[in-house]
Amino acid sequence: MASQITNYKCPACTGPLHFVGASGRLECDYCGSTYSVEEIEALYKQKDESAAQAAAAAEAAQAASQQDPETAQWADYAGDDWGKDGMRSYNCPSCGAELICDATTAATSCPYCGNPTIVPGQLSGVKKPDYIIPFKLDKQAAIQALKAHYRGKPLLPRVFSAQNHIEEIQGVYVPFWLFSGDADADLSFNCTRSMTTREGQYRVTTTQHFLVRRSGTVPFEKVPVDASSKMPDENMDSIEPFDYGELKPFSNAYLPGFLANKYDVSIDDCAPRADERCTNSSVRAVASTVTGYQTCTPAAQNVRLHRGKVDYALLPVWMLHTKWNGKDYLFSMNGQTGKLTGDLPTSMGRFWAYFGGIFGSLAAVLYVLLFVL
Amino acid sequence: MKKRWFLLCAALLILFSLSVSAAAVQTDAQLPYVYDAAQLLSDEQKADLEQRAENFTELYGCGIYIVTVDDFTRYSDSYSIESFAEQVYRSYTLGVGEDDTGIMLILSMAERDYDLCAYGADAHTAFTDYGKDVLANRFLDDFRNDDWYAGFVDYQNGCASLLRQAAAGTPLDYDTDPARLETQKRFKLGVVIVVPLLIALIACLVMKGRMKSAVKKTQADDYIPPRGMRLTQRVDQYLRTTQSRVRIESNRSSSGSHHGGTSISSGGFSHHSGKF
Repeated sequence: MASQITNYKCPACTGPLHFVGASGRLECDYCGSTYSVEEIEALYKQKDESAAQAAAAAEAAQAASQQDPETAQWADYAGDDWGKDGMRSYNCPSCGAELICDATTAATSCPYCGNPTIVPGQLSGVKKPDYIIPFKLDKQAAIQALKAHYRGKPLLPRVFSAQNHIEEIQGVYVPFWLFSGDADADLSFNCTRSMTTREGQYRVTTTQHFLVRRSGTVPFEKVPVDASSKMPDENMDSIEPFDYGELKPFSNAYLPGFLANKYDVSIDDCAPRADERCTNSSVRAVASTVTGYQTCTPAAQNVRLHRGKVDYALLPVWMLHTKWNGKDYLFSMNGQTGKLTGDLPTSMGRFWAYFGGIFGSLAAVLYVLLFVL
Repeated sequence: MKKRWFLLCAALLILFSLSVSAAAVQTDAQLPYVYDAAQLLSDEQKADLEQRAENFTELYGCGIYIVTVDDFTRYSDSYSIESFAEQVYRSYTLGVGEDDTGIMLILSMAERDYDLCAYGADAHTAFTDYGKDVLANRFLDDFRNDDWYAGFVDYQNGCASLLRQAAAGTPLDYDTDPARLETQKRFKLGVVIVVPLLIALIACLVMKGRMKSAVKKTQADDYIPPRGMRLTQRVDQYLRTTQSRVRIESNRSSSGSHHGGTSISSGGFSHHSGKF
């Protein structure tokens, strides 16, 4: 069953609107009009209410007609519902095509007419994000960042960098849980201070031993843990940190033009990763106050976490995908700061060529120094 | 007639050899070649070593002495075993020939000190600083195992070897030791191969490591607000003081810092000393 989906149309010409990170406004590709997020939100709030009333009336009429044998429809035995495979279908509001997409997709674009669309209900109610950081960097910035990522990597296969065959670039709003809270850390260390003097024919080392205790409370604000099973944790962790100064209350108006996923990993499943990170950092922060000793050996540690608020946010990530030698390579770029990470293939031929070159030249220099000069 | 002629020749030969050896071992020494005050040797061992020393001394014209004491500080006010060795050498007029050529190995058991003390131009030629170092390495392993007799035999054989090389015109020295030169050549060859190998491997592994940039984070330092940490306890409790004493080894016992030749003190002695 297809559901109705939403796209934002230009109030002036009805062309599709896209959110543009550079200007922070929704822009029309056809007439060039621009609108602020607040303007579009106000306009569509009224439209959504009218559409909801119309949909309720239509459903009531359909239910009545199914009970009437004269107007009953053919039974559909063609196959299982998409929902059983974790898929959902929607109608494009622009061209009417039926779109099939993942049950966690919240924003996408129509492959037939290219209109950016938002799947209703995915990001509303209990699942609605608290915050969003809008995209600040565009696709070109992502391509440039990838080229820069290739530079200074002598072991990168020449073919891989020369062709630069990026198969897919998508701006994705990735769901994150943002964990806030405090960590109480109690640490103790065995520390020493030593002094060496000379007495006649003897070297005398005097060592003072101390038991050092430190306790402290370390607050954490919005530690992000990726809440989408589709996104590799390594890639999402590596593009941190995001600048939370630009966090904005969530609005659908930021989504057009980008993909968006809703979370499919729960807070409980993500919490252990946040706990581990907070524990490690609290220990490191408190331990950094132990100074003035020559040796310091941890003796005991106890960390108590006071878990606080968990926010739900969509954060901007450019995903770049390419294939080489039958293997997938995925790169992620922070859509706000431009930090790009992703594993690159290694040419073993170049590895051994560099190895031989460095070895040969160094060996030649050393031979001349040790045997000839 | 033949028998008489033979006996005369034999008598002349014995007389000649006696006169030669008497000339070679002309000495006023007031100590035997082996003086074992620390009683490390049996009478048989002592006699054997004495005989060997006498033979070598006669053969090469250089006295080869062994002296052992319980504690050299009991015999004199000498601060070091080197000055004690010089006192012994002079007091007992050791050495052979006109310039009292000789070498003496002295052991002091209290602190397990040893000194190789050479005197006379011929001894300095044969026992260079490097040669004494090589000589010490021949007997030190025996002394460290308290195998005194074997150590002294090694010492005497080593002395004979060095004296033989000096007599042949090629005294053992830093620049002429074929074993050291061969070892040095192998070491340099090892450096030429191993060092570039390691550097190349590390450089290539670093380059390979840079190909992987996506890693899971295990800390959350970026999310601690500035000056956010509140320290609630700060205790530095003093427990105790410990002290360790390590005797500083004499630089003279160290090897590997030779530049050839023999270092002779103002008293005309050259030394090699250390611990065993």
